[in-house]
Amino acid sequence: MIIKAVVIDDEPGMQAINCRLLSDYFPEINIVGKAESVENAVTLIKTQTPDLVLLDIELEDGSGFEILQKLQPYSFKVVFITGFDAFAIQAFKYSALDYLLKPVNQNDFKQAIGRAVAFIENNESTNPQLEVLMQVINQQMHHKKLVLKTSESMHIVEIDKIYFCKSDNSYTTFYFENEPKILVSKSLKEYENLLAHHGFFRAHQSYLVNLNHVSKVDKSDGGFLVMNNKHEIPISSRQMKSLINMLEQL
Amino acid sequence: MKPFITSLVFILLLCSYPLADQESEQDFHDAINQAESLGDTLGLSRAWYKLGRYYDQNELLDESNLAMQKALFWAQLSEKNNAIAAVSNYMAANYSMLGKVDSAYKYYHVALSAVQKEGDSLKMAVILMNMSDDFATNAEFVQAVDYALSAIRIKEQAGDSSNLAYFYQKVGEIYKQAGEFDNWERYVLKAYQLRECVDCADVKALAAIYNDLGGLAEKKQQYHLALQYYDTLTAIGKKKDYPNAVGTALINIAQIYKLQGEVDKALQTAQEAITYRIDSPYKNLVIKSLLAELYLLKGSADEALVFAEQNLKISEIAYYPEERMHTQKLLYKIAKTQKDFEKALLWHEAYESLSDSLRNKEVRAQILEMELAYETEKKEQQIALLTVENQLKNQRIKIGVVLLAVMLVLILLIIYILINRKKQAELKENNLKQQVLRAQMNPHFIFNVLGSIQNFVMNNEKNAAVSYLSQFASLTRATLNHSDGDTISLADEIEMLKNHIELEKMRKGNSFDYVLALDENLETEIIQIPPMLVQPFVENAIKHGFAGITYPGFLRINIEDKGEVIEFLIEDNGLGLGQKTSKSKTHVSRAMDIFNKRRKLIQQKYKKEFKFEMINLKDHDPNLSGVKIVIHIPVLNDN
Repeated sequence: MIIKAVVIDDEPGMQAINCRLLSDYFPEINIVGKAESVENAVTLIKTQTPDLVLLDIELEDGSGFEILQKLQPYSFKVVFITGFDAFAIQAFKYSALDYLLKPVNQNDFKQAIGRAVAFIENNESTNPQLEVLMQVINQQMHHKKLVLKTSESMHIVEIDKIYFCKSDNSYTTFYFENEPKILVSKSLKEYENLLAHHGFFRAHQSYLVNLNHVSKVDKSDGGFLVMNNKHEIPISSRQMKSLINMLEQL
Repeated sequence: MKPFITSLVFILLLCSYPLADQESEQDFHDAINQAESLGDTLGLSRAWYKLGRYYDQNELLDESNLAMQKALFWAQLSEKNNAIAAVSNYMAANYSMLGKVDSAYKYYHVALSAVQKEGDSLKMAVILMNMSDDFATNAEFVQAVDYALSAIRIKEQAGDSSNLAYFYQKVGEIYKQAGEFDNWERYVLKAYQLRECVDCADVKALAAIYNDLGGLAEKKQQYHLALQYYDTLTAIGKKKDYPNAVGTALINIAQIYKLQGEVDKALQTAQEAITYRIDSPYKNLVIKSLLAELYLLKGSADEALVFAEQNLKISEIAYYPEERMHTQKLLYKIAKTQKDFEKALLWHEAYESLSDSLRNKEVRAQILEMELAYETEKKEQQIALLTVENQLKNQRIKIGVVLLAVMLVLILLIIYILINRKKQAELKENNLKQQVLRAQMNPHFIFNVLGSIQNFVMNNEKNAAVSYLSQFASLTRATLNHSDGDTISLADEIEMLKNHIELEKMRKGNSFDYVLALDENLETEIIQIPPMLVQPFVENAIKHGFAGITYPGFLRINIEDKGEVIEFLIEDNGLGLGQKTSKSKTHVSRAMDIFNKRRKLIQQKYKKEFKFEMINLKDHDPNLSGVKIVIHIPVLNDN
């Protein structure tokens, strides 16, 4: 099948690079158009109905997210590109959406587009992820969901339900009260900043803990946290003081 | 024997009813019966009062008081305050004559409260003065002066000058009794100045003043002057028909003559003195003692005996032990002169025993006097103390206000300074952050990197260029992300260091290698440190340490957890510190400068010390070269 793609970027050089990389690595993709502004992008996408949109977040007349909002509902797959937008990156992380950083690294590019193509070919939907993304972007600070993508499936979990996350090199395992654990191929560090707003605390080099599910702090044996499901989590001695402070504020 | 000056004693009355000389005791009783039959309580009071006064004038003090008690009863029943005051004042005076101090004091107070109810301040002054007199008699001079001065103040405030001279004289007399002769004289002279003023001095006051003046002159041994004053007193007494004054004056004159050894003149004067009626029982004693003494001096023991024995018959002698003793001594001398030794011995023993008891009394009086002196002194001290205290208080208040103002200014100043300092610290911190950013991403570095990329592109080393670009982008991003944060995780810091070194390595065409060693248990993602403190030293090691070397460069970075601090050890195998060019020195000092500023700021902010050490390896081992830097960076997890 031929995949129709559009490239939205306000930097002509970036447009060129993205097109070049697309045609170099993905000859099956047909680039049907390019746009540099929100207005033109919306028109372009409406007329061309692409399967894939390479979308820069910072455009000259607005944000890439505006385009998505104007086109809702839509069925195309988006790969986001950003230069330096901490907020957008956080939103992508919540929704486990692929994003590329400028200047684009070829390997990252191949991976991200490859995954997108697989998505399109399998006719999978990214709607739940986009929903989470929109919640974050619309400043709904009470957004409660996190998208966890594993090799087999995509989980949309409620952040409050997470008990703790355990790091294993570049993998992270999410633990819940009763539900089975989820292993994600991202480092714990990726989630630390993200979940800090939701009462999560880095109790240990290998553990990120949801303090809302802590039942006890045991100071013996160097200290450990006892979760509501009796699970015990070690505490780094360096974190003891901040942990006590955090718990007192709860 | 000390010369004594007899004074004129009289009591001020609050009212005077006409007293006809011809009235007899029966007339008063008739008046009482008449009032009783009329049921006129005030009339009864008045009638009894008149009877009491009649008794008093006939020296029947006890009877007088009984009558006065009845008068007081009826006065109280009729609720006439004026009558109550008049009667109780009279009674008090009687008691005081009898030496019954407590009763006198009690009735004076009855009188006082009665006039207070009437609001009659002038009568109050009179009573206060009488009370003062009583205090003085009992040697309570402080109260005496206090009451007398209160009385005078009342009179002065009321603008009432009637008999004011008497009041002054009275105060003077208190001082005289207290032994303060200067004050005595002062008040007597005050009184004396008023003698010409109509109303200010009645005959009694005038008499008392001259008597005092005479006494003062005597005191100064100006007998001639004293005699003149007493002569004036005699004249006044005779002219104003005031036998008391004449008698007193003559007694005093006789005593002066006696002192001067003129016994005949003294006797003559004393004989004249006794012809005058003298109210004071004391002076009756004195004159008789004097006569007895003078007769004895003249050798007429029999005559002397008559007067001495008369003295013993005067009932009031009980109140005047001094006079009694004197009389006993005279009697002893008379008996001795008459060769009646048995009697003489008797009198001598009586005298001795009285003298003993009196000496005790004297001792007591002395103690009292001492106490009085002490009390007075204490009072004065208290007053002085109060004044001083007041001054101190005022001063303290002033000082307090000044201190408060100063403190307020100081506090404001401190707040201002603190705010200013905080602002400056913030400014400094921001400046420093920019400096750090510039040090990290200094333009030189940026353009060098860009130049290198250009070089890769021109040499068609596409992959190298892209890879280099990615590294650079990654470092730039990390720098921007962390340069404004207070802390960075050790993991991120290491990532940035690696990134930097990789870039440098590519730029230098792999002319050096590096190793970054750390324990695998190091909690890199937990540990928080101030960001980018180490990077300038790494940059220096590569840029300057490896400059000009012909052998492969090697950079070793060891990171170790030391608990409170993380130790970074940066070691190169370059040429070492001695080989630096002036240009590189500038860079080193610039990097050091920023480092030191940040170190100071961090130490201030987190109260954590940290160490920096730069070792030229050659100094330790000539076979080695290069520089070793040891930096202890504080862990900020608890902050």
